[in-house]
Amino acid sequence: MGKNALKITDLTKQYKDFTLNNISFEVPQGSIVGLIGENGAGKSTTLKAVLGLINTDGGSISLFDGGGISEENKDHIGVVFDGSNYPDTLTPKQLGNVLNTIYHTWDSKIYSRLLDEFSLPLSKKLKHFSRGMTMKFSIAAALSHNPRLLILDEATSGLDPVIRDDILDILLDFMQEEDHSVLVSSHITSDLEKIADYIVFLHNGKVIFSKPKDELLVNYGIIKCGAAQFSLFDRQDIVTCRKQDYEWQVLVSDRKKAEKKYPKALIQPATIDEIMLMYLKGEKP
Amino acid sequence: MKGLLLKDFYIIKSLLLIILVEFVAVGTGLAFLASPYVLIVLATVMLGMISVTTINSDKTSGWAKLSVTLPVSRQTLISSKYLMYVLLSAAGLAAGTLLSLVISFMFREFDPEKIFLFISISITLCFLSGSSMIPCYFIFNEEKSILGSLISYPLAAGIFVVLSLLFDNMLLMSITCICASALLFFISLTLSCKFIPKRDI
Repeated sequence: MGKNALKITDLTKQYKDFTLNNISFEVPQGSIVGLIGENGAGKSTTLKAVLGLINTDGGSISLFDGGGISEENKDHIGVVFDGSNYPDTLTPKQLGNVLNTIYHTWDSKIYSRLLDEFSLPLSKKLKHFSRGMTMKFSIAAALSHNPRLLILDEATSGLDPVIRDDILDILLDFMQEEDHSVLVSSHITSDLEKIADYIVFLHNGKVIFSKPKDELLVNYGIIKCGAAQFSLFDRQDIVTCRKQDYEWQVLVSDRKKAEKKYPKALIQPATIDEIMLMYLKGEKP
Repeated sequence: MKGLLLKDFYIIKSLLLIILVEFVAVGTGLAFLASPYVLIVLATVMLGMISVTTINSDKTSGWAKLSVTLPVSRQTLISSKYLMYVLLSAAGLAAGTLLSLVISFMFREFDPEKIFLFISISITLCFLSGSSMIPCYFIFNEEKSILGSLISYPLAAGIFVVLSLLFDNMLLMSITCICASALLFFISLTLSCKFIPKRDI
């Protein structure tokens, strides 16, 4: 069995009107795991628990060597949150000086190279950066202390497709090293379809599924059919179904089997977005 | 710790011009109306206040969240604010004392007893108000924490007045006030480092 960069087991956190309920999943070393779910599903809460920002009510979190988060292993974790991460009255040069004295593994050469690569001016205050530039800066800072695990919480939200593509390239470049891993939470499932190895779907504080991305894209399918055809389906083959105005939409987990069993049905490959919507808005038959 | 202090130093450096203008404007008036030694208290309080407001700016900028993911303990994050507060207040004390000495010599109003009294007031105010203000800024949101700072200075001044009424000897009174306020500041630091890290961000 391969090593895990991160392993979460039965993580629980209770708030007044929301509960993170026995969350379990892994980030295998050398992989990119995408964390998806609607707003309020518990993605950010899960990441906050991993990073030690919140106390948990149960479960365990183990990083790299099996221990929990500590000052020592924080050197090896790069973090990018949505929006602003740094004081905007400072410049990249000043922040480089600050982070250089905080991280034991800080590499100023990598930092300078990344700022240059991302065309980020050294002496311009962050408040004068565009949103895309701010996010690129946050990623540059996160990559400049030789992390082994990169955690991004909605880091591409609100960015245009060009910048998002740049960021995905940066992540793929980061993954060139075998012992690097990424955990990225995002609403933009099309980005995750491009780079993720595994998808973890959270809904209402629970893990609905944790599967390899390829399994979802290759095996899952959506059948669109009328009521008459729908009534002929074996309920065991249906993951969820959804009644629309003029048709039924049926999510199946084995498209090839469904094609053989229902030759007259129109079965289309399902995107991660469609799978997520079917789970959220559909119902079990 | 060094990196955290450096970050705050950079933030405060960008505000120094504004602080200087405010100090000159307010200080000039007070120096003529009351006494040039008021500048000692004013400078100490102003610079101390500025350091504490970085706690709120950390929250709004997202740094407060990110800093917990840095390879420093949460106790270090908190104690760096206390240290910055002391360092800046000390800088304010030094600058205010120097300026008031210059003015008092210029107007031939040099009074060593008054200087000592105002220095004692400044140090006591610094420790007393800091001991309540800093935890307030960590615990409460921006509006409530500003309210905390508005209350802490008059409260500290009130405590100083009460203590001064209990003593006849100014030297003894000053030393007692400074020691008591320093002890309270240390207790505040200890309790903050113990309880604030347990709070969720």
